[in-house]
Amino acid sequence: MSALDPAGPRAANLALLWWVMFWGATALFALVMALFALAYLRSDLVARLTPGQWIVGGGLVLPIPILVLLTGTALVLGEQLLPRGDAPVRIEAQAQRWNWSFAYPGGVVVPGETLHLPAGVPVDIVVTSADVIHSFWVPRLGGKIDAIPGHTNVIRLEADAPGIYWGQCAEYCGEGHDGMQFRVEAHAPADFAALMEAGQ
Amino acid sequence: MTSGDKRALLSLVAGFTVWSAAFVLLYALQALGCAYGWSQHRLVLCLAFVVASLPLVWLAFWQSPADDEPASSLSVIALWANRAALGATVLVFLGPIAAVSPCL
Ligand SMILES: [Cu+2]
Repeated sequence: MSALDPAGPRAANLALLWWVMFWGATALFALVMALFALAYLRSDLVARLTPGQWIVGGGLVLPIPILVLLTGTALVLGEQLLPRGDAPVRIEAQAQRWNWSFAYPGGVVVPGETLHLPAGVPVDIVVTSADVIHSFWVPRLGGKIDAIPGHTNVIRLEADAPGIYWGQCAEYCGEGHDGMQFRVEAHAPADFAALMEAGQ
Repeated sequence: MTSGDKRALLSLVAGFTVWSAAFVLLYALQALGCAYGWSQHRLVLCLAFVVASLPLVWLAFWQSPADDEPASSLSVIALWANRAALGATVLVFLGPIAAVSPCL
């Protein structure tokens, strides 16, 4: 259930952003530590720079391009996560007291508390809540979205391959919060169609 | 404290005060536009950006201390703080307003 083990294109975007930030932070940390070491070992080199050069270099030239690059990466990758138009499949998810219930198109009911998806196609999950604010999150398939009473939020997920994935409520919602997991099963498209037909 | 110092002190906080007001204004217009489905949503946001930038451009370039007063270090700091506020406005607001989807 790790966001760093993505199993779909949307989760891959988020994992990529995480790695960009991780390596960016690592490089910066290494640079600062190198300067720190230089100050101890070769203080004559460091002393050649004036305080003004340190302020302009360390305060403006260093952080501004990095912040612009990171913000740009986040905006471009985030933009690709937005649900544009309608996805081929639309499933409703409602949170209530530490459980999720799912409703499929055409009033189809599937017994059990598993979220069934077709693999290889984008799926819109329409998320709401019957009591307090929860948050819908399947780390290996995509980002999180709040489940808010009286309001619906849409998140688009996609699984590359059939399999079992797990979700977890990502907003503290009371004493049952830590156990508010749900099972997600991605099926081959034909199997998903058969499941929908059986539930009618 | 001379009148020039008072003026410089006001000028020092002016730029980033305008920046934060612009932040609140743009955020509010973004949310209202999504909630009510404005057809010219992006145009409204761009206009608000221009309107908010005008006082910052004035603070950063055309606001000079009175001719008979020498520039104090406070007034120099105020001028550069206001230029930083203008830079922050362009850097932080322009990209999202011009290029990112405002609503889901
Ligand atoms: Cu919850």
